[in-house]
Amino acid sequence: MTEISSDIIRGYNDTMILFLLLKGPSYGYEISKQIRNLTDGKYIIKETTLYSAFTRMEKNGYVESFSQISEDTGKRRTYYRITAHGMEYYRQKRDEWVLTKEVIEKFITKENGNGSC
Amino acid sequence: MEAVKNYLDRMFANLPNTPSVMRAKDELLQMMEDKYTELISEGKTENEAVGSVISEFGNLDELAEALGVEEEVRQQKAESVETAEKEVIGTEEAKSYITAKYSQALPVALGTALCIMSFICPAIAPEILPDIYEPLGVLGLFAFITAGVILIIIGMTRNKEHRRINGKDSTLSVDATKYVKNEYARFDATRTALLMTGIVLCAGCWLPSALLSNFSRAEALLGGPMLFVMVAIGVFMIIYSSICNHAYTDLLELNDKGSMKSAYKPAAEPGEKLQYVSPAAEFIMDVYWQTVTCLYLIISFTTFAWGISWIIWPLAALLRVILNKNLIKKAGSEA
Repeated sequence: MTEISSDIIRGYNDTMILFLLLKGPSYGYEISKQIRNLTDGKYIIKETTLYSAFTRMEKNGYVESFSQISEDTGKRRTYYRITAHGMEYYRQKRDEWVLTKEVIEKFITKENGNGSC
Repeated sequence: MEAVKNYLDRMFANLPNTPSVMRAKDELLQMMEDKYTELISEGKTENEAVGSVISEFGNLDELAEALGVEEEVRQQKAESVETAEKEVIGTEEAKSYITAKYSQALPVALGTALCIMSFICPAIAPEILPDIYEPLGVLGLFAFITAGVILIIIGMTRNKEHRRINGKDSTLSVDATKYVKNEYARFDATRTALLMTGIVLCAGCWLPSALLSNFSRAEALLGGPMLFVMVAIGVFMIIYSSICNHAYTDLLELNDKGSMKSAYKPAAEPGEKLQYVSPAAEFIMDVYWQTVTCLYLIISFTTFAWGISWIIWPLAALLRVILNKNLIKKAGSEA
């Protein structure tokens, strides 16, 4: 069973989080759940990875955090929302990935594997 | 959920106690709690839920960079060998240390009270037994003092078996720290009550004598002894509460001051503990009322100017207000 390499995915954690924030503000567990569901459980982001990404992106001005009481549980939670700067960064990373994928694809043979990349 | 919290406590135990570390811990707990609640609602057992929450937590290395604590995390790894040598005190041992300290407090405080009460004998002997008063009074004095000193020595020699704690080259486990903090918080009200009652008794010890001053026979018989009895009970309360207090502070001081472990909040928080500007300031304010009581008694007994020496109390209260203004750290000035 192939497992995802954390070295490769590390550069794109921010991209995934920003993508999910494009739809609206969200909080830690919600995002980690969405990542799991969207990838059919093939990638599960660690709590520490997620928190580090939030702090790093907040420092870089890609996201903003705010505290809000959640409607369903009534608990106070830290929510994150994407900034204009973050959207710009997301587009940049998207183009970078399209190019990267295009390049790497050239070297991937689908003949004797199941072809997943 | 307790298991998850304990796991997180353990992971953070030796990190520095800074706002960014505390925030990270809160946020991570929030995420883990959410995940745990959902797993349970999906029908997972407690064990399964805890297992997957912990296995998907990640590791500290990753946080280190985001929090600016790379140095500490590296150190923690290097030290894990060293702290293994530094013995870890568990909850059971902490419990037995507290019990031992309490059993030490009683004889020491009682012994001191007996020494103070010894003065009653020469004071009342001439009133009750005028014929043979002199030898009996002195005999009584020495009997009380001897009993008192023996009790003090018994108390002092107890609690020798906790060498690891007394030697200070050990550290409290995370669970033990939590336990001691909670117990300390519960003891706080008792300590304050004992200390305050003790001080009031010492401060008011001249009252019976003053009230009885119109009845010279009664004053001679009761005034003097009452004074010593009140001082003795007061001093007993002050010493007892101070030694018991040490049971907790001794243990808590074993932990590194700046680490998250030493910052664990007790479950029942009896008002935020005041933060002083320096350890010296904290010490002065900690023993403030004991010192004032001591001064008051020494001055009063040496000068016998009970009529005027009470002025020490309002002056001390005033001085404390001034000291508080200057020595207490302003809330939020650290963040």
